[in-house]
Amino acid sequence: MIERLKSNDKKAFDELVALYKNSVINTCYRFLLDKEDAEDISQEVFIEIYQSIHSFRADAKISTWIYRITVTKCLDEIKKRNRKKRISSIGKLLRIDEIVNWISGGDQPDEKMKQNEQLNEIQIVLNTLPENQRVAFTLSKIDGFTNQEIAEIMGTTIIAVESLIYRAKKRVASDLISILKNK
Amino acid sequence: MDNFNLDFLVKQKLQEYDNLKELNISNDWEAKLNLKLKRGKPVSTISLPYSLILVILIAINISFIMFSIIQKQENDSRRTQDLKVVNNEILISQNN
Repeated sequence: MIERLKSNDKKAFDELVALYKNSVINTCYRFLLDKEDAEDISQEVFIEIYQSIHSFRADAKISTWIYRITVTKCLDEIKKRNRKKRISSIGKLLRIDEIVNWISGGDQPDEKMKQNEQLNEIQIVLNTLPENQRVAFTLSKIDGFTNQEIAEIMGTTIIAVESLIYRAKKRVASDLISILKNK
Repeated sequence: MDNFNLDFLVKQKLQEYDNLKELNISNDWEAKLNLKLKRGKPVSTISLPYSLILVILIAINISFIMFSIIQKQENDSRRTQDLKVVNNEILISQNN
């Protein structure tokens, strides 16, 4: 299949999409907690796969490579969101928010964050986790990912993954307690 | 809120996250993917308004700077002319 993909065989690409579509979208959803964003970013993942399949080395598993791209894209999107939030708060401070909204003709940047009220607290807590803890924790919550696979995706050892998940779980619980206490 | 309730709520929140259901993927997901593939890399449009405002602010700033430079030049030339007049008047009064 990889050879067919490398020769820009659209049918092979469609097969790959059919094979990984569900898991890529749901992985994105776990990271972004927003359906629209998850679908959007997963499309970008497959575009990246299509465009950079030539750089894929056959000594690695294709699934590991795909999930590595997925995680990178999701983290980029999270960083973009945080940047937008910062710009938005500056905009609010300078009262240029309305102008920006009028020009963009749509939602405020942090509007999507408010939409998922139910998972708001967990999202706030996950946003404060260090990047590697967040990746390990999120991937560990997805069915089918073993610590071995998470280690391969993150390019680290199983022991390191176990430690990251342990520390993340501890921090998530304590941060959730302090958020719920202040409610 | 006592510790028991707090622990229960934390467990509940974590459970909500653990039990996230698989997404029902939109019907047009593949059509959108194919469209994006044809169009190439997506261009971010959300930061565009901010860039536009930045450009406008820079333009306003530049025009203020230009205006103050021109005004300063005019003031300077007026002052030199005044000085020349005063100088001439001094020279005339000295000659007289």
